[in-house]
Amino acid sequence: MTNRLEGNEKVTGKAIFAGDIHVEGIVVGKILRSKVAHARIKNIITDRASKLPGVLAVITGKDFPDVYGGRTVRDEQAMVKNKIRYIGEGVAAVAAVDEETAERALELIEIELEELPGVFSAEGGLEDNAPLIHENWQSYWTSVPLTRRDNIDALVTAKKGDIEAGFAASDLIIEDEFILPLIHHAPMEPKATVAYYDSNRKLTVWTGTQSAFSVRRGIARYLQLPLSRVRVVGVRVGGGFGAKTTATIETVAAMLAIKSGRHVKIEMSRQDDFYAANPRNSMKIWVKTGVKKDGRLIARQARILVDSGAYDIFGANTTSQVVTLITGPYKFEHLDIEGTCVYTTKIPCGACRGPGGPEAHFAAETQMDRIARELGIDPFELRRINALEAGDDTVPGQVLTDYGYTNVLNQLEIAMKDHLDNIPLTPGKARGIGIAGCFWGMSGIGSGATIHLNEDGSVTLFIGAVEIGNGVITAMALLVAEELGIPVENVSVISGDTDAGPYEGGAVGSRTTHDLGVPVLNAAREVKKQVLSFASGQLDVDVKELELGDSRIFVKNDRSRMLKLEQVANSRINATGGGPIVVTASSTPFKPDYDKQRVSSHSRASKPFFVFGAQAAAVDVDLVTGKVSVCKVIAAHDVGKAVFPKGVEGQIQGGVAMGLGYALSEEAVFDQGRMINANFLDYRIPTMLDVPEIIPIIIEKPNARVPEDIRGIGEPPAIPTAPAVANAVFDAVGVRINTLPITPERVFMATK
Amino acid sequence: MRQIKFRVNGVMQSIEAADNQTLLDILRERLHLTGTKKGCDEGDCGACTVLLNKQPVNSCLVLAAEVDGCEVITIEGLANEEKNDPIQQAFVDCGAVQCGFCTPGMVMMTHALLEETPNPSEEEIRNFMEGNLCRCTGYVKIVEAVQTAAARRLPEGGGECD
Repeated sequence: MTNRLEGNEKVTGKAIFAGDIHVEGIVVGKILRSKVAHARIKNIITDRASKLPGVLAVITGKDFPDVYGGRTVRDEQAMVKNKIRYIGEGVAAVAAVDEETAERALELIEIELEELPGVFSAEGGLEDNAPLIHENWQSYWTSVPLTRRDNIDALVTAKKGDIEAGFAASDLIIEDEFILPLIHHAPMEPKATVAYYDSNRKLTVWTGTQSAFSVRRGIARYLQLPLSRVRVVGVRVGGGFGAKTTATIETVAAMLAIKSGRHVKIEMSRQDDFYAANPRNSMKIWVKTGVKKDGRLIARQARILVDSGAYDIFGANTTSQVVTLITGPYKFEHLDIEGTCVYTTKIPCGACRGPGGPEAHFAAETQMDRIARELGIDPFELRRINALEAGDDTVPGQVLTDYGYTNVLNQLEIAMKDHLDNIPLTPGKARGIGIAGCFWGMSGIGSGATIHLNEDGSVTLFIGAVEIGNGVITAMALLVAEELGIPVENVSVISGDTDAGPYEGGAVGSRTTHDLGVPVLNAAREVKKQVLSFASGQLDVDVKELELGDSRIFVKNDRSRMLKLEQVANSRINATGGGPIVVTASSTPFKPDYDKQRVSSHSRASKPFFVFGAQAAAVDVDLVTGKVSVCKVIAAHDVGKAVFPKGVEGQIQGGVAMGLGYALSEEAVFDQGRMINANFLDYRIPTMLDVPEIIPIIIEKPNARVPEDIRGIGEPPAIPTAPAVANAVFDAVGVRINTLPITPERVFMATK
Repeated sequence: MRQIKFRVNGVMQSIEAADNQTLLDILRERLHLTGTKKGCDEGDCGACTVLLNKQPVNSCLVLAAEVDGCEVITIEGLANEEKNDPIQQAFVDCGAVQCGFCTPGMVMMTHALLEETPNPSEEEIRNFMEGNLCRCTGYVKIVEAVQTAAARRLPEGGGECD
């Protein structure tokens, strides 16, 4: 199996992440972060900081143009001008010759504030007398029509059929409330960036991002610069998971670079990351379900309350996704779903690996387990009875063309017999096994790719995607190599530079391998076509009689007649009217229609594709302490076609590990808006002792078409893990823990 | 400020360091050995693991002053230009690398483990390396890489990834 192409630089310490960049004259940028949650800024005095020797620039919100940015709701400024809305929000920044000077300068900045009462929960934000967090909310631009009011960032609704009739026709009605914590992406690399404004008035930013083009767009908007004067280079990235999708510290570094004339590096500390990266929203989800005795799901009502934090960032989108996914991968005749995303004076939440997916499925799939138990139906069978198939529709009424959930369930069931039946029991611990399924709609964003055929028959592939550990450069190189019949080592990938590759939508929404794979492969096919066409003239043979392989062009039925790829590349360059073979291709995925009558204020109603997955977890619950340890996880995921199989396995295993953190140990704890466990000792991401063997089952579509049938795998593996674990805990000790994480205390109290 | 002399990857270094400077900052900022990563700067993540007199340490918790007269090996000290160390190669071959940020620390920790325990069990690997966090891989392939590296370093050789 092919190895990761950039693996060598990573094992030798040679890979350059943003924090590793060093150039002569580089200076340190530091951001002054608010210690209060909600306050009006009366005055910021920077004179003393500016006069400190070694300080090159001091900036505040006033230095930025008066514009708002944001993906779905433009409610945030590059740096606050008038009002602070969360602890950790940047209020000023300095550039100085070294870290110590920069820190001293921050201490010399004087801020006069008028503190305001804070809002520390979504319920609090909805109260009649709640302080208004965004006074000018009515003036904010939104990308789609959203129902917004006061502290409500978005009210998303969906209705189908007649919910009351549905409940009346049901034999069993089940209600549950679920409480889900705010958790962090916690990539191992805290975000870092370097900016420089050169003498041609061009801004270059080298940064650890998932989306160079998204960062470029954000910087250009916040600084009111044309895109042509902003270049963003995505260097190696120490994990993203949604934390590094938009321009944040990049804009601040850019302004410091403009003001100081120097290269400015900003590195977030781990605490900065916990205070200001845009984590997964905390939520409360109430679900009421009506079901027939034979297991057919009839009606579902759900109320979803989402704490957005200080800004929207991704809140309306995440809420919309929960509204879509709250059914789980099952069909219902009657639906009544309402999601309310509320501003609070806390860290603004963004997209975290499958935003809305783990949340919705924790509710849907643990309740599914309850239904199976109450009706005495096998949990696999209950899921198969209700599985979404091609032709069924989603909550917003998009008719599915993707299907395969039943097959995923079947494959998981078979694998469980092989892998879970013979794990030895541990004295003093109760064993339980649980399953959960999932579906997930991939994002679809237009992207392009360019291929140069080099004089020696190797190729250079130019893509705008940044390699964040997702394996994009290896996967894309493999697609090109296979199409052109050359070794993968002969594909050089230039990636992540907005001035070197065509537009690319970023490592978000499990989209890259498909959305970028299509133009990459189309470009490779056009290169092949031009090569064969030219070779056909040279060999005087019809194109149909030619084939590519081993860096050569052969005549099919007389392989002694051939040309080397390098001969074609060279001859084309020298041929009048020929020229080098350079091909650019681009495409945008098709987004199917949905039923506009059924949903309102829904910002994510249509998805190009849906994928399915299912996982089984075996756990041991300590009968004295209540501690849950996971013995093994099997994760079956539908990927259409695995382009880079080792990468797919790694994504599945890593996603499950993150899901285990969500299930068992991770929770940002707040006191009056301040995160009180902002370090890895108190905020526990899974360690090597917490994560067991994870068996990935890669499910490919029979006769999969490449690239059309390629599906993403970045997010789905993190989705069904927590409900599978919760269901296993019930199987072990007979208690339902509807609040994550499932800590020893919660299990202990429930079993007492 | 004080003068500190220590050997890094076989090369003698003599530098002036402030009393509050860490070994990690000296390596990264002064010697530009940026393969050693700063993931938390408080000893919780293991990304900054180096070998100090052959023992693995979180270099963010070691003051520069403490390394006077010591020998330090960083990730840059394992490979030569032509050939990776067997541990490094096993990490590549087994798919144990994704984003690569925890990788230098993981590799150094593996080095320390295999020097002490040439043929560790899975349990020994997991116990020894628990302090090195990874957010990408779920650790499964990292454990495989350590096992593979161990096998390749043994006289009888072998060691293939799945």
